[in-house]
Amino acid sequence: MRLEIRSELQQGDFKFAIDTTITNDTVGIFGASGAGKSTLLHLISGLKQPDSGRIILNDRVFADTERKLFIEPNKRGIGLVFQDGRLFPHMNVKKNLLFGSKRSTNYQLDFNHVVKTLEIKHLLNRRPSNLSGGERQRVAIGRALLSAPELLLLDEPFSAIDVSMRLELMPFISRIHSEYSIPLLMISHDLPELLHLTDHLLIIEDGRLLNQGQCSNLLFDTECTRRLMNSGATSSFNGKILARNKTNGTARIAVIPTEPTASAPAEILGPYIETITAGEFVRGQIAPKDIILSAAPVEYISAQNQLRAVITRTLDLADRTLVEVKASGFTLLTEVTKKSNSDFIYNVGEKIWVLFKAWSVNYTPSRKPNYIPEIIPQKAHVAHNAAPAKLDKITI
Amino acid sequence: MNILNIISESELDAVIISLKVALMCAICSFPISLAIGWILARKDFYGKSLLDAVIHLPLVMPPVTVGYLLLLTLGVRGIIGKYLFQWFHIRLAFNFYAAIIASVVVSLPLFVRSIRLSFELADKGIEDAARTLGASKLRTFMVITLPLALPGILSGFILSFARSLGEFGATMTLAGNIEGETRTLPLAIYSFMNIPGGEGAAMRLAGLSVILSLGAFIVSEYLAIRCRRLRT
Repeated sequence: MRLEIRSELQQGDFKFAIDTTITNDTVGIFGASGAGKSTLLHLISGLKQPDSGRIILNDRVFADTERKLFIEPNKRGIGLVFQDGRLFPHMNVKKNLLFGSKRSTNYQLDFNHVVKTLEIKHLLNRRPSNLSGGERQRVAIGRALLSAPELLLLDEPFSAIDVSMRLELMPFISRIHSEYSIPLLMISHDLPELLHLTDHLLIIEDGRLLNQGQCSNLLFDTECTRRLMNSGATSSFNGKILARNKTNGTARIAVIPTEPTASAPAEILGPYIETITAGEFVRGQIAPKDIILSAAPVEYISAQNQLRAVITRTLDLADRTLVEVKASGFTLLTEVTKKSNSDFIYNVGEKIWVLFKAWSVNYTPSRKPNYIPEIIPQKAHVAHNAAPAKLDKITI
Repeated sequence: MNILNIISESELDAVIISLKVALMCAICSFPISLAIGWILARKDFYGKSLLDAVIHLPLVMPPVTVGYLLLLTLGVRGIIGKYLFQWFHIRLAFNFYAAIIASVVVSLPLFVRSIRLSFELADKGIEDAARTLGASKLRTFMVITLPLALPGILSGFILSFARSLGEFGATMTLAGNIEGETRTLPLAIYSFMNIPGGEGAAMRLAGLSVILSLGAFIVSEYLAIRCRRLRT
């Protein structure tokens, strides 16, 4: 996907001005309430018209004020899932789902497959008023999917849903891309929620683009650091469950590296989750404050994970230091106090041990990652607590 | 026993004319009110308050004044009526059509108000959703907006019908009190009250008037409940 947005829009006192090109297939749009996130989606979908500028998706020009061109929202082929679902109250679920399927496009999704994927078969004859928040959003996602969009926009799809339900819905969203290969842009003011879906972020503040890119890189961009750290930035990763042990209450997870690596993938222990079985792909997060750095491995400690890592980046902030470490292609972020930094002095390139509890690993089922790097066979730095993982292209 | 045995032919005429005028009034007002209601609810333009005020004027003005102004406009010697008569031989005063016009003008504010409110309440966001799902503006209006505004439209229709049933002043002034042509129920009641010995007929018609108005109210309530069920 290639989405070029260069648009300006004045709404009362609020000025929205953005100039960027999005090429990533799954992008999280992050920003505070009122930053202009929804305005961006409305401009892309055609519900708002820019005062000036242009919007181009792949080769299709949606709006170009210089050429006085504006394509109506119904002709853009863009699915938009709103925060409140916006199901048609006078139609049952089935009619809602089929509403957009008449749109003539070059592909068609199978109704039954979508209904099965989103687990909404039993709701087909119900009215939207008889659905729970989570069910309503699933139907809204299904409805948007069945209109066969070229791009799916999700505008805070979980904001009206309680926290426990969010975790249940997340896998549905991540399944969309893997099942249907539809690029998606999701808005949220909840950073960990976005990081469950993607690493690629677009940060919007006061109607302008602060920056876009991989979360781990944005964290070291001084303009974005504080914004991300205060919003609960985490180290996120894609993984695969290798084995589970109900008695121990643990699950062995192989972390899929984000780049080609010379060593076998890192293997970590997370908590046992009944519904996530061995062989499943997961997306996990570890909060920076849960990670301890140590010069040497520590014996007799409750933390179940100890990984050999290298310090790759540091950033001094007013009150703390951010330290990025890599363990066999697994990028982890931690924050240490100024005191800790002066006591130990964290230098880039230095070898170090990373410690964290199994309970600090927070994961949900996910899709198979798009990118699985080749693993160059070599003697590996192996996680302290486990045998080298047999992951990579061989098993995935 | 036949109803004709209870009421006289002229009384029956009054009932039929009233029902005809009321129905025609509601039917004719519908497209006008729909258009104006939608414009007032959804569009912003210069002079919107003026249009709003003009539409609502008949609600606060004495109906006789409305009728008089209509007569000055549409009468055979009126500003517009003059030309209508000269060019097309159309008379829009002192006949059946005049009774409908008087009713339409007087009941329009009620119909417009009702539709406008229902359009304002119909979530614009739901229309946006329909648009992103590939529905054209027309399809969105027909399949989403209109059904969502249906309760308001129906109640406006019944209100217009009921207001027309009760219309007196404007009808009397513009359409006159012509037996068998423009003498509606209220006019007939008024006429019978002025004839010695007409009290019985006036009483009967008053009773019928109550029944008709009550009927319209019950139908409106029933439709409102049906619509609510349809939407949930």
